[in-house]
Amino acid sequence: MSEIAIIDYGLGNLYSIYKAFAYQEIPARLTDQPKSLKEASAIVLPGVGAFEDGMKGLNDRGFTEEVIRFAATGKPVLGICLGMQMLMDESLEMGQHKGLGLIPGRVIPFENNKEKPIKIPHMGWNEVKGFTTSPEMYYFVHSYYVQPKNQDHVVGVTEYGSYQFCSIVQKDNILGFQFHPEKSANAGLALLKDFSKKTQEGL
Amino acid sequence: MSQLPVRMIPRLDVKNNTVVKGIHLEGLRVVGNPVELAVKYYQEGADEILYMDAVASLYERNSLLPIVKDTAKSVFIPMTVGGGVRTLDDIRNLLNAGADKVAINTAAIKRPEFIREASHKYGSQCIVLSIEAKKLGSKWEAYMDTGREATGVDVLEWAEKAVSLGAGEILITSIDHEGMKKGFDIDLIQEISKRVEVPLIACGGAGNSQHVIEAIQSGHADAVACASLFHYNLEHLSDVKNKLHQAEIPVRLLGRAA
Repeated sequence: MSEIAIIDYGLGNLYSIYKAFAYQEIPARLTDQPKSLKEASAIVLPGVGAFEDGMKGLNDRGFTEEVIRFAATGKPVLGICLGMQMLMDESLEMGQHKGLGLIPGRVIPFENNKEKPIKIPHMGWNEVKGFTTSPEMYYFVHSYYVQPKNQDHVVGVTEYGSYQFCSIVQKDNILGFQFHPEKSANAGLALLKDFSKKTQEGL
Repeated sequence: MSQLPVRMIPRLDVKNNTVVKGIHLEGLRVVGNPVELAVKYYQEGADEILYMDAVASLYERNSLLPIVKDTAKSVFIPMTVGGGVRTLDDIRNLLNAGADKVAINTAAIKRPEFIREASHKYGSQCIVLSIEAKKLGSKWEAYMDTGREATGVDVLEWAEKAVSLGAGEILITSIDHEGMKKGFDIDLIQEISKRVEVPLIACGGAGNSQHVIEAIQSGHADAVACASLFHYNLEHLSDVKNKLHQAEIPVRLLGRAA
């Protein structure tokens, strides 16, 4: 059965992501079984919380190797929020932590700046520019952001205070959204729908 | 955008599986079905939904879990749920049902450390401190149990303390202005926004879009929660957003990209 597998590694609210697919009649299921990823047409790596806890959740449940193996098959992988950050090589969130290493680059914190003060976390609706002709708004909640090594992997950017950070990252079949498509109304649902189409066509 | 859009948040107070609306948080009248109203506001362009269990503290439980779960099937914007949130398990259950944030009042006043524990476990971004304020001379006093019980706690001091304990957002409801449709308590909103760095949701008193604009421009609120304004269709949600847009307040407009 060719379904999108949403990885349940013990962190975050998976119900809303699952319902965002179900609402659009896209076949998807939650799984906490690393071995079952093989059968999936695509995988979604969700997540909220701290980077270290996220990687520990993947490692403890035996997901890390299986996700890397799945990514190597060329089938689509989507990381959302913390899930996107874990696609990178490493994070500097409270120490230095190794990520999945599927996209070269790192995860770094927002820092406040006196000229253009910002509230941290960056929480609320904001625009993503770059990947469609007219920018759409999506819902963000995060204090860290990804910095890909290769600018070609930056597909969408978002402005916040004096920052312009990468809000959509993509390297071949590996895609990441910093915002929550499942909480971003029609604009977000449309991105999940597009992703599900890619499972047939390839990214 | 370097400045985030102001969020418009319909507030749904729920009692016995029905949305109700009162004046000064009392004398509740039936408005409609919670899930149907949430879906309607979602489709009209609400940026977030706020559910409050109107009688939770009275019965010492939050009865919104099934409603939240049902809403999450067809509403894809952030949901904040409050009323009767007393334990870490309560928070976990609501988040698992599709809520993104919880609003805490009574349990935090009784034991402020609860804010620290909750934000440590689930992150500050999902812990909203709900304050119900009543004017007392030149100050404001915090109330609990949905405006039923005075606490002797000074609102401004409490807001600062709760943020230092880890509250990631503040929902301020003026009991005096609540349900009156005559505008917000601007002084109260101003005083809190001066003191805390976290986002502030202003609630209580909106009767038209001009009131909303005042809360944002004079009060410096980051978000506005309204009940009567939308429940009684005094002004349509999209009209309010258009008025804000005309006043050069950043908002999320629907169908802009279409």
